[in-house]
Amino acid sequence: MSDRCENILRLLDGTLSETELRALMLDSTKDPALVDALVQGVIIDDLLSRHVEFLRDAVHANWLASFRKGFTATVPDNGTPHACDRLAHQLNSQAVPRSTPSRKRLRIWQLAAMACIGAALICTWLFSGRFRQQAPQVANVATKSSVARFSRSVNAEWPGGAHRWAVGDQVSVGQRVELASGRAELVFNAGAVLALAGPAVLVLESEDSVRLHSGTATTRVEGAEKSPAGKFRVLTPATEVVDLGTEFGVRVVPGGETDVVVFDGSVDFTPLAISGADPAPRRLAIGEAARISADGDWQRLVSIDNDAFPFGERMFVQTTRRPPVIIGVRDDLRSPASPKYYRICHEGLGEDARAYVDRVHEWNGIAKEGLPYFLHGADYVATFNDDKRQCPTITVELSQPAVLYVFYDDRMVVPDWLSESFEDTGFNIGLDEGPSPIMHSFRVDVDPGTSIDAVHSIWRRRVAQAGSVRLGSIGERLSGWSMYGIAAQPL
Amino acid sequence: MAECDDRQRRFLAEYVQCQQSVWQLLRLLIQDHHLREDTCQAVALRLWEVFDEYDPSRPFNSWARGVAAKVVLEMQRSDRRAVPAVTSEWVASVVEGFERSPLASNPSSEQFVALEACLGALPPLSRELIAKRYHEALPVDEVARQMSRTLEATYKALARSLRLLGDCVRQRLSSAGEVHVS
Repeated sequence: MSDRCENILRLLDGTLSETELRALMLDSTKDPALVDALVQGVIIDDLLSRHVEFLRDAVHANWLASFRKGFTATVPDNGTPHACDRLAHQLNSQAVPRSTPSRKRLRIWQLAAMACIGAALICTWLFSGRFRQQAPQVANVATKSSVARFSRSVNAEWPGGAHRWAVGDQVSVGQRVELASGRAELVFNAGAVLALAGPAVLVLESEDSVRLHSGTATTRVEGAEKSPAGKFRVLTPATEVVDLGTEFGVRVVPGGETDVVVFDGSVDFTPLAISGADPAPRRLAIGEAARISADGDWQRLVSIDNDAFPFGERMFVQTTRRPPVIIGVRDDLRSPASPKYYRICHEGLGEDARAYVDRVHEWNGIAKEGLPYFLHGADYVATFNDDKRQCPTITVELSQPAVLYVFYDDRMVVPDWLSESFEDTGFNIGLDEGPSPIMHSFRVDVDPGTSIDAVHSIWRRRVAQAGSVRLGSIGERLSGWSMYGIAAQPL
Repeated sequence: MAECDDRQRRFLAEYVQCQQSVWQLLRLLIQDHHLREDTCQAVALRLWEVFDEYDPSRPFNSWARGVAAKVVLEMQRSDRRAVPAVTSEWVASVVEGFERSPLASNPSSEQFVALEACLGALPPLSRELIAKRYHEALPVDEVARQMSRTLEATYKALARSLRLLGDCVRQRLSSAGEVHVS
């Protein structure tokens, strides 16, 4: 048995010859015990490989030294911090620089990276069969009635019989853009930029209005109040949405309901079912979202998937490394009259990640070494900073076993629900604050270790099964205060 | 989440629990790494397509591995060069092996906790071998060179270490109350 079992390693290495493989298969079909040993071997080999992913860099080296000396690895069920975390904490426990808020700027490497991504996408498109199969294209010359330009697409597929738009095409009033899948972007002469996520059907009604029959459209309008064309409008089967100088998303869901989400600025919406009675439009501000039904009723949208409304550079992010861990968030606080939404960002946590839906504050590493390694690429939830004044109970829904993290402001008393069911990892994360109703002069900076205005301790809890986890309200403030953050990584 | 339909949510919840198990099955059935990755994607797509046929009274893991085996055999039938040497008897016996394995039926989080505990209990030689092969990611011939052993002896010693670990993990998982995560 032993001689044959060692073949498991050669099989997994890919170094087993075809003759040896045939012999192994033949033996296995006659001997269930051999198969059992192979199955056990591959499971353990796989577990060991994944174990390595938890142990990285300097932390890895230290763990390895301890392991070779007979160190007994993590025993998380007794509440003792992970050995790796303790070691990493020692590496991470550096003085927190307090810096003067400065203007945000793009670094050279970021611009270069964006250029490379753009070039790669263009090359991919040029050499794909799809390019060669393009239907005859519309002339790229602006016509008298053209009001927008087809500016870019990402993995766009067109339904049979529909027009295949190409980058540079001019789009006129009355023309339809039908997208089977992928993403497309239109730049309007009046200044609006509209990103369409398929499947979707959009008709241009005028130079400053579109009708979205289905799908998702995210629009950004700069300086709408100064635009000679006036405010930008999106019409759907259920409502009319009027932009007030902002970034907002509109989605027509099956059944005719419309979701309206405001990412910046504000919009007015008027349900069409009651428009005949001269209704007052309803205003949604940054961090608010509503679902409007065909009969004119509307309700709060509790959480928004960040990937559901692609725009700008987010249009290119179509693939993720793993399924989402956080799949829902809700609270017990808000009435329908306060339609704020939580924003769920899959694999979105990194330097300068937007921390709240109602502020422009960002998460950053507290020193130039950056965020703790275990947070990179985590799913996270942008919460409401205004909730620091209230006491919501937040429920996070996890799709799988996970490590759930809470970023808790060190300036506040730690509440019992946190200290009793979570453990302090010993790591910190910084909050780079932008302007707020009180601190008008604050500005966010880029990169870790600069412009850190508040330090949050990172607490963690291992959640063994998929399901819901309830988080309590914040404790008393000692000096400053801010709402906690939420993140998760698969276990 | 409000916009997720129920089918998608149920599928996602089930699939994330079983994807590692499907991957482990494919590692035994397909030696070529790139082909294995392609097959894994094909299996995920097929699972989504036939998800309506899944009987919730059965373990999703088992059903998913059955679907994966079918996909492998279909690929082998359509292009023998793609999945060489795989016989339907071999595929069936491996699938049955997973069905019998107590390790395959436990969530990976519990496996992980048990593994970490068992790593600490390994004899020194096994610990060194595992450290070199997995945590330093050395190829087996390099492990052999560094430990002044023949390649054959190193493969045997590694196989023995894996078996020790596997037995320990299995034992911990089968001992109710001894293994849990907070």
